[in-house]
This record gives sequence, C-alpha cells and structure tokens, in this order.
Amino acid sequence: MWMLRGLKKGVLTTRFPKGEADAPLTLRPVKMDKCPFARDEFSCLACGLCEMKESTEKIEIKDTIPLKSSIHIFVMDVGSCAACNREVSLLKAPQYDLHRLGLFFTPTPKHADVMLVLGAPTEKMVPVLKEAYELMPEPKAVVALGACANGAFGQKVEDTVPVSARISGCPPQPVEILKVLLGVAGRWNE
Amino acid sequence: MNAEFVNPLEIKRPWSLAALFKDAHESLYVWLNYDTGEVSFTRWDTVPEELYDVRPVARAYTHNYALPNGLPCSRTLIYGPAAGGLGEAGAFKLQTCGERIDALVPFLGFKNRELGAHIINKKVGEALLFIERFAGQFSISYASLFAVLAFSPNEKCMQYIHTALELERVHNHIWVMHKLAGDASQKVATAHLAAMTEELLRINLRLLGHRYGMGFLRHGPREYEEFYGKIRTLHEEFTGLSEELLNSRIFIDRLHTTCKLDADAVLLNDTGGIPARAAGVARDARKYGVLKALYSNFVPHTEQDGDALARLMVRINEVEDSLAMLESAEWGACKFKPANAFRYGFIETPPGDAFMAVRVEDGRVREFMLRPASLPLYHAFSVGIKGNVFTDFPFALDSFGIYFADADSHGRWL
Ligand code: SF4
Ligand code: SF4
Repeated sequence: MWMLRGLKKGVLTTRFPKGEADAPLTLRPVKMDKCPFARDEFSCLACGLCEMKESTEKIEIKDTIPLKSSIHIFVMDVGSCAACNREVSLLKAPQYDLHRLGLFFTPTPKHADVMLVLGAPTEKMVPVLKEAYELMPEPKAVVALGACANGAFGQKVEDTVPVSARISGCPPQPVEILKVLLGVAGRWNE
Repeated sequence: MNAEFVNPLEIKRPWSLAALFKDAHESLYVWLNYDTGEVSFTRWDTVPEELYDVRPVARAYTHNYALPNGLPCSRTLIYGPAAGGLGEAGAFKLQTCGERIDALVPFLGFKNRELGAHIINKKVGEALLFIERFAGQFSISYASLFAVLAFSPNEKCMQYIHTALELERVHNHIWVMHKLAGDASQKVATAHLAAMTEELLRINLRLLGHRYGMGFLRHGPREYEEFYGKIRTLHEEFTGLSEELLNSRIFIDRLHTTCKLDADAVLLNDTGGIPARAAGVARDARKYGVLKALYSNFVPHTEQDGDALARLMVRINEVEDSLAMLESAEWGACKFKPANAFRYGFIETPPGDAFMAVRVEDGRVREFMLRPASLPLYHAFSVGIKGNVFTDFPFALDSFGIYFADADSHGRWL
C-alpha cells in the first residue's frame, strides 16, 4: 500500500541544481535603505514593515572547502525560534532529498565538514559554539544561516567563530539552504 | 490589573496555576478556572516552598528543578544542549538506573533571547515582529493573540486569523506525526508526512505571505485560487495515510503506554492542551480563550489513555477537523486600530494553551507577559517519562510537539 501511495504521488523532488528550483519565492524587501530596525540584507527579518516583493535569497561565499564527493553537516542551534531548524530538517523531505547530492547530517562536530549555525547566539550557547568549532576536523566551514545568525538580534555567529558563508532569510527556504551548502563546497554558483 | 495580595497556598482547585512571574520583590500569580474560563491575578512576596508540592508546575515557572536522591544504581547525565537528537538548543538532566529513567528535569535557558525586552516601548506594529519570533512554529498563534489584545481586528480579519491558526495547527500536528514515524523507523510514512508538511508550508507562503505565517497580518491574505483544491487533496491524502499508519503494529506498539500522564496527573500538574485531552480532560483554549467566539460549537477531541498514542489520536482528529474547516474557510483584509488598554487572555497553540498580557498606552507596549505553551508541557513530559526506558525517550518527547525556543520565551517585561 505504501508503495502504491508513492507511485500515485510521482516524483516530487526538485530539479535543482540541474534545473530550476520550483518552490514559490519568499517575500523580501524591495529596498533596504528604509529599515526602521537598521537591518541589512543578511539580518533582514522580512517583517513586512517596508515594501516587499517575491525574490531570491542573498548568499555570500567567502571560502570554499575542497570538493568532496560527500559532505557531512553538523547542525548547531545557538538560539533560533525553531523555524530555521524545521527548514533544515525538511532538506530530507522528498521535495529536496539532500542525500542525492551527497549531503548528510552528522550528530557530532567531530565528523563534520560543515557546521550550519542557526539562531541568534545566546550567552549560554556562545561557549558551546566555540567548543563545537574546535572539535571539527580540518578542512572545515561554518555557514551562518538566516537573519538571526547574521545579527538580527545583536550577536552574530561571525563574532564567535570564522564564517565561510552566509545566507539571508527568516527563515531561508530548504532549496536556498541547498544552494549555500553546495556553494560552500564549490559545487554551485549563481 | 487587579491583583490582591494573597498567599498562593490559599488558592484551591478548580483554580489552576496558569502562570507565575517571579521577580526579586514580588511574584505575580495567574490563575485559570478551566471550567468557566475565569482568570484571576494574585501577588505574594515569595514562592513558598510548599507550593511546589501542591502546584508542581510552579517549578517550571521558577526554573526550580533538582533531581531527587537516587538509588545505588543511579547515574546522572545531562542530555543536550547540542545533542543532535533534541534538534534544538536545550537540555534535560536525567537520572537513570540501567535503561530505566527514574527522574528527568528540563534544563532550560539555553535559548533565552530576551525578545520580550525588545517589545517594551515599541509601537504595537513593530512589537509584532518580535512576538512572531518567540517560536516560529507557533508564530501565528502568538501574533493572533497579540493582535486581539493590542489591536481590535475587524470581522473579516478574524476569519483570516482563524484560517491561519488552523493552517498552523495542521502543519504542526503533521510534523509531530512525521517525527514519531521517523522515531519508529517508518521511512516511507516519514517521507510522505514530510512531503505533506512542505506542501502545507508552501500553501502558507502563497496565502499568508510566509511559510510559518510570520508577518501574516501584514502580508496577507494574498490571492491564491488553488487554495481549496490543494486543501481537499491534502485532506484526502491525510485520511488515507493516517489510517495506514495506525494499521502498523510496530508503530502503535512504540507509542502505546509510552510517557503516560493520566487524568489525576493532569489535574495535579495543572496541565492543559493535548496531554490533558489525551487523558480525558477536555481543556482547550478554543473554549475559554480570547478567540472562543470563532469556535462557537467547538467540542474538544479527547482520549482516555494519556499516553503517546492517545496524544497522536487527538492530533489526527484535530487535523481532520481543521482540514474540513479550511475546505470552506473565508477571509478578508485586515484593518486595525491600537487598543489603549491592559488586556490578557489565552490561545490554543498546536500543543496547548499560552497566556499573554499586554498593556498598551499611546499606541506603544508598556508591559508584556508571556507564559508560552511549551513551558508547562516540558514539565508534563518530565512527569510522564518517569519509569520509561531510554529507548522510549524520542517517542515520548516528540509526542508533545513542544520547543525549547518557546519555553525559553517565558517572562514579564515592564
Ligand atoms: S527587517 Fe522589516 S523593515 Fe527592515 S528591511 Fe527587513 S522587511 Fe524591511
Ligand atoms: S532567522 Fe527567522 S526563522 Fe530563523 S531562527 Fe531567526 S527568527 Fe527564526
């Protein structure tokens, strides 16, 4: 029965990165210069208090890690609202199926190539973040994911550990997270 | 707010301790009569030690937890805050004897972002931005509660709020089912439920302007012609899928008798929400909260066993009801005007009730209180998990559908 159900639904997986990402676009500000909260493109909370339109994410790749066939990702929550966490978990949903791209989650920083950091670093989580970074083997990369990790509420991830890539969004959608992960591995370029 | 100076030990049931805000000089107690929906405030200069015996949930509100003295075989461990299994920055202190969990206490505060402090003196429209981010999964619930307390939404907007709340309930309940199926290694069911969650979040984005409804009162409602068709398809799919899932003995066995909280435990621990309904206690803020007018003929679904399976059954029935409601939902554009007043009330978030109080003066927030839904439910989890074995832990925790981000948003700001 499960198999029949699957056949009935057909293939849901996005054609990205070989084709277009088919998820609907997020609303983002048209211009950043009038933010009453003084947020920038990476820390914008997409709150809707300025004019918004559907548009794509902003990604900054500072360093890439040498290309590997598979990449292990450690997810580090340092003070999120838990929506970023859900978006990361949804990478395993059939629409995204991150394993087909050689991306895998690992429960320990000791086995991680990439640390995906979510949330606004809280006082109690800053030392945990530092420790997790120290435990990662070389070469390693840190991705600051979403507005909170990029300073929406003060502290940024890059104030504590070196950041290789940043992505905007509150939260960034799963397909956008795929882009930054492939980008940091040198496998995707806008 | 009229808060008499009363020793909290004198307040007897049917009053439940719904919130407690402790500060250095005085503590504010919020009491709820679940039968009548009445709310009462009292003040007292301390939190008496005896209160923790008669109102154990007070421990959750004051973060006053300690593990008991263990047995000779007992081991104590801290699980979290960066443990992959929890999925969030939070922790538990556990006392185990072999595989058995003899005691567990929530270890909170890792996600304390002090968002409430950002709200004070903000214009109500700006405060909403922070309120929506206490817990992303319950963003619509908190924004709706705040909107009703701090603005006066028009009737069409109330219908829009109702639609958004049910969309939020459905995606959260289905996500809980996804996690439980994953815990039981039901890989195909897990994938179907994740796909359904993603589909619902895309519906949210198209109608509400955001996948989790953040800013839904400003962004939406947006034009979305396919809404009813999509909901009908999802409903059909959900009904078939849940029937099939419930036919899986392996899945059901893992949930049956796991993390049981019976009606007596619910009453002693002043528990509301899904864990209460799963134990046969029909506590639901849709009956007594600020939005009760939207749910005029509402009768909560209840079960009797109080275990993880009963909580799942309540969720399945609620998804069925919410999807049926969404199939014919109507809505209109929102218009607001700030209400200069002190107002308070409850809302039923997906896992349980939450309390909020807001004082607005000159269109700005001057006082704010939040007792989030997850905080008393972490306490309920800590009660139910005693005596379970460690392999039950993910089933037990995931059956509550709660978040550390939410629990850590508790507080009162002036
Ligand atoms: S935070 Fe809000 S007001 Fe500021 S730029 Fe982003 S959407 Fe506009
Ligand atoms: S960036 Fe937005 S969605 Fe992500 S944790 Fe922060 S508030 Fe939540």
